Amino acid sequence: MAGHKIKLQSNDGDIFDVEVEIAKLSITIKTMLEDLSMNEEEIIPLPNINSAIFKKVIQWTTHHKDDPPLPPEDDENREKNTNDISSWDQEFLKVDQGTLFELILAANYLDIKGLLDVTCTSVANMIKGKTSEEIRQTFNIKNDFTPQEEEQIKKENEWCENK
Amino acid sequence: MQHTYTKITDLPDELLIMIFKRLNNIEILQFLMNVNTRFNKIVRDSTFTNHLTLLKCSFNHIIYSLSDTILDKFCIEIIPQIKHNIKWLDIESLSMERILLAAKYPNLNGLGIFNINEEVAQRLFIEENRLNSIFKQITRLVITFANSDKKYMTDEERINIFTYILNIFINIRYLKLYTSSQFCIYHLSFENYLPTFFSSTLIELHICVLSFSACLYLLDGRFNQLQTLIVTIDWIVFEKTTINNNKGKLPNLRYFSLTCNSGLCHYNGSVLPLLHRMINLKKLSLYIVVNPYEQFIDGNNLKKYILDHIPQLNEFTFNIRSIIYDIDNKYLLTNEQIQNTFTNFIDNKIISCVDYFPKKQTG
Repeated sequence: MAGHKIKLQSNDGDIFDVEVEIAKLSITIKTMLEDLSMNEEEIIPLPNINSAIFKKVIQWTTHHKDDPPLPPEDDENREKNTNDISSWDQEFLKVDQGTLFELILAANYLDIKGLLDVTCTSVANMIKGKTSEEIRQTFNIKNDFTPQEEEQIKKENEWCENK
Repeated sequence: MQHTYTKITDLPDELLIMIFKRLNNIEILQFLMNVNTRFNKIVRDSTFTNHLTLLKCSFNHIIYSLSDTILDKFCIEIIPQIKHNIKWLDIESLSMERILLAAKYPNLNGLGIFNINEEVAQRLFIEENRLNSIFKQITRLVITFANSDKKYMTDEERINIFTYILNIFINIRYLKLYTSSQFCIYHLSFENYLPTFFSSTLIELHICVLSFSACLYLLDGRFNQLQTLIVTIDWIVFEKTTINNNKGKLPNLRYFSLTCNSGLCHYNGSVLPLLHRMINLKKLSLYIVVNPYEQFIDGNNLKKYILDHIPQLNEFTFNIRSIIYDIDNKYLLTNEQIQNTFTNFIDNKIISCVDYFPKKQTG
């Protein structure tokens, strides 16, 4: 029923009243409501998501509630155009990296394909065109190669650069 | 509340793979190799290294070789680390030797070679060269031909190239030859030079020929293991005679697809007898124009002359345009009557359309 709400609780205790139709964009919540026969009056706990991230998730699902269902992904069409992020989503994803990765984790846990798609694509765009060193700097990744491995990589790179 | 800053390395492998899959395999290897040991393990996985497309394709589908810098990175740094995983390579002909000689590829069995012109083809396939040992391990081969500035290939050169491909790729099972341009510049014709090639390993062939009789030559027993033939007749040349000296059955053939945009004038005498030889055919596709014909090819015609002769056929896709003349002296069917002839076709999704042009006496 349109407008009917359920209560969802983030892992830091905040309770959110969310329209059922919007909440059901999450396959995880939809399954809880339909297959596990959870009572809509009950508070549904979401132990993996904090309130800040859940607010963002609700913001995204509210905006995208009328989107047509996405086609299943296969290896044939996996190389999609990584520029095809809508302007609304681009604005929505202007967040720090910590928030972006938590959104990915939340979208994966809640099983919201559209949100997972767009957040993964956003990170892929951050990777594009960068050298391994630039990727380490961008994402604050520790270089854990042994000195010998590092030396070998350097030699190979120098050979390519000097050619 | 203490806020923990989540990093990319906090994501599980399955989510990193999901992110990396937004890039193509070349970008993944180019950008993510040698970032750290975990990324190295993921990007070297067969998901990203089985099939490499080492070329660039523009928005209008023109194919280019990768730049020298990127090729160097792949040939020197990346390919030696993942060579065991590589099963298929798509490469542009100019960079082919460089890439194929960059490493030994123990599991490589598929090649897509793009933009070959006759000079490159002759050098690579006709002369003895260092790639022959790699060619011998290839079982699946896709080649696209490009226009050369020099000239078009002669019929003899085309046959020579095809013959040498079959001679050099001795374990070939799947072969697809096509042209990246609008016109099929690589098409076989046996009007002046009879073919001497054969293969006992080839199972699937996609090819363009110049005439229907060339198609018959391909099915005269020289490919005795052939199960799938996808043939396009580029444009019909005037055929002195419809050579049909091939009457043997084709029991191995399971799928036959014929595309011909010019008018096939010997439908009853050429196409139907050929189809009747395909006694074990399971899948048939006909995209043809029959011109002229005594009546429109409708459901009754297809049943009587095709379906009743191929009992194992379970998939039939067609787009047939038949042209009739002298319509004043013929009983003319309405579109509804023709559509009704298809009502007994199982799972039919058939659309028919009839037009009559009384001034031109055609339909």
